[in-house]
Amino acid sequence: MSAGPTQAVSEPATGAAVDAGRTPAVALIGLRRAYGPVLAVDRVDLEIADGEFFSMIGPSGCGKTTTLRMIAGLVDPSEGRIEVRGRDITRVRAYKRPVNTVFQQYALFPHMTVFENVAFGLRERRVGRAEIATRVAEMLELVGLTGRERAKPAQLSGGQQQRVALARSLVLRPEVLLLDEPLGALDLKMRKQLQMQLKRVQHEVGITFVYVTHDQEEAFSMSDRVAIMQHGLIQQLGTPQDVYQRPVNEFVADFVGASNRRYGEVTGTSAAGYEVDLAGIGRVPAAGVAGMRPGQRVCALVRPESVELAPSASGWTTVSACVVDLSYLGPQVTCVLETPGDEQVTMSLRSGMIGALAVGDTCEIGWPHTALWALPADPQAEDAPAADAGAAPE
Amino acid sequence: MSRRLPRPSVVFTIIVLLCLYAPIVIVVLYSVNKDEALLHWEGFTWKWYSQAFHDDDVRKAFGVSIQVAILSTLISLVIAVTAGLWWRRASRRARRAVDGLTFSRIVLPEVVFALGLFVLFRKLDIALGVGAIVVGHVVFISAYATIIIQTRLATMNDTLEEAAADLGASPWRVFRRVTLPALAPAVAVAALLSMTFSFDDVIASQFLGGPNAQTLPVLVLGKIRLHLTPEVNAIGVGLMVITLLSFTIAGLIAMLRPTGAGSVLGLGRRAR
Repeated sequence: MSAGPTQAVSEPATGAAVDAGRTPAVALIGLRRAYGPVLAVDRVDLEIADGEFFSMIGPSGCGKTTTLRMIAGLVDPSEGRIEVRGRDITRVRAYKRPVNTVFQQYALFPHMTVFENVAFGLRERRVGRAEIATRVAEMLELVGLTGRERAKPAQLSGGQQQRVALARSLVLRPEVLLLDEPLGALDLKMRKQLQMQLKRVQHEVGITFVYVTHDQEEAFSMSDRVAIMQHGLIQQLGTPQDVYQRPVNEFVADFVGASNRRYGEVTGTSAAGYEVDLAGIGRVPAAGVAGMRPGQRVCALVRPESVELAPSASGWTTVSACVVDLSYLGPQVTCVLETPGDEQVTMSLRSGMIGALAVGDTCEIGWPHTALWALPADPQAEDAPAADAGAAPE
Repeated sequence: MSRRLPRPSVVFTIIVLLCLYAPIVIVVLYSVNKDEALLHWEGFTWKWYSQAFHDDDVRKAFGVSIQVAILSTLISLVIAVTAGLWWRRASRRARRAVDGLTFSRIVLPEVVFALGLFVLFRKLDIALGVGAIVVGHVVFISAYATIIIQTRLATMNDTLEEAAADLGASPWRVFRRVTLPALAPAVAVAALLSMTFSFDDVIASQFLGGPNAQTLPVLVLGKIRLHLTPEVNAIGVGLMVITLLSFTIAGLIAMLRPTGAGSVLGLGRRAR
């Protein structure tokens, strides 16, 4: 590792939140699932800590739901092992596993009342009547549905139905709660509310949550750690900050948010980590993925919010640019500029910072050395148009 | 201004409807006609109904019909639900094979398999009678029932059953607490239709009943062969009322509940 100080370089943070020596709540070991020739899950190795809010995110078909369903016991793995609190449950039938699932379509039993739905699992476990009544009442209070015991699912709104589904699973006090895009069918406002509520409930009950979503923002706002998946593989595992600020490849960088991209190669080291030579910008300091060597092709990213107007401090890279477009978004202004070499840079500024800047103006822009993040270039992506920073995240 | 003539399609429809329903109207009218020779209208009477009601042959045949209908319906339902549940998890090829078997039981002329069963029972020295009729009815009734149950199962989401299993219900408990309640309306419709089909059947009942087990329709057939009595009309109306009643109930269930039978009956809203 000749290339720079470690603090600027990301470790592939597999075990970051799992204390060595403590048994993880969930451990997936070499998990694989094939459907004929198609690999839904290629190979997943993962440890999820007790009490953690863990999310698996990725585009549809990336294997996140299949992985979750394998933990639930609804899909059999082709290979590999699943452990919950150190116990191998790979061959245990779904109804005997110490995990419960909240499904995307709620899956409430339409012929039962709210009370009966929440009591379903307790009855299967032959819990006594009095205890069922108390535990169901407690749980309905936790999710804010006291008083709706007699309602049928069809009489509830989507958000309420989802809270019943949550209560129905939580009332069994599972060791792990699995959530399969539970907010996917709700509108944005309801989703935001339920996100807060989910986070609060998870905090109160202290149960390990494994959450699957395609919505990066949703996962980031709730999770302790996230796994970004694609092609049945975990591309990166880490805290939301890790993944956002220090992506290990272009797929992750793209998936978690918009960025300005330039291709180039590593030329040496700097205080920030590496020195890279980028098209249209030249040799500049950059942080980056560990272990890259001089001469290696890299993709360097800077997030729009890291780019600033007229920076003067040391430790910043500055370039002069011409304003091509300004869009006012209320609290923020998105500014597209053209840098030498006819390449575009997107800059996101607080509205107050914009001053008298107008389209056609030439100005100085820049970013801190450590805000430029280099990662090994994907040989295929390099041929595609470089700047896609305008595309807002979902 | 000349008056508009009714469109040909309307005229045609009316003629067809007349041809279809005139016989029924005649049967109903003659069942309350005093004229024994069935020639003229000689006034209203319940006499023929009362005569049919007190006729021992009719009572016995009615008993046989009910017995056959209940037995063949129960057996058909077990076959239909089992086949449906299996069908849901089967491979595509196995499904196609079973679908073929199901449809062939409906498409094949009843005479053919009734005759086949008749010959088979003779060869095996199995006595004709209620048991034999039930077998004959089950052959085609179970096919209709299977289609109704399958249609409902096809529109049912696996997620509910997965959720039940996830909450700790064993496969049998999942079936009892989730699958069966969701299937119940379809089972009810299938049961009512099966009873109706069994109750109406002449061919299989005729071939397989032997001398001692006559169902009501077979009795009617026998009676008109000898000579036409007004009593036959009364029995006919009775049969019709029973059939219409159970068909109406089946239709109502199909309209109010997701049974998947709507597409079979041509009634009701589409199941979700």
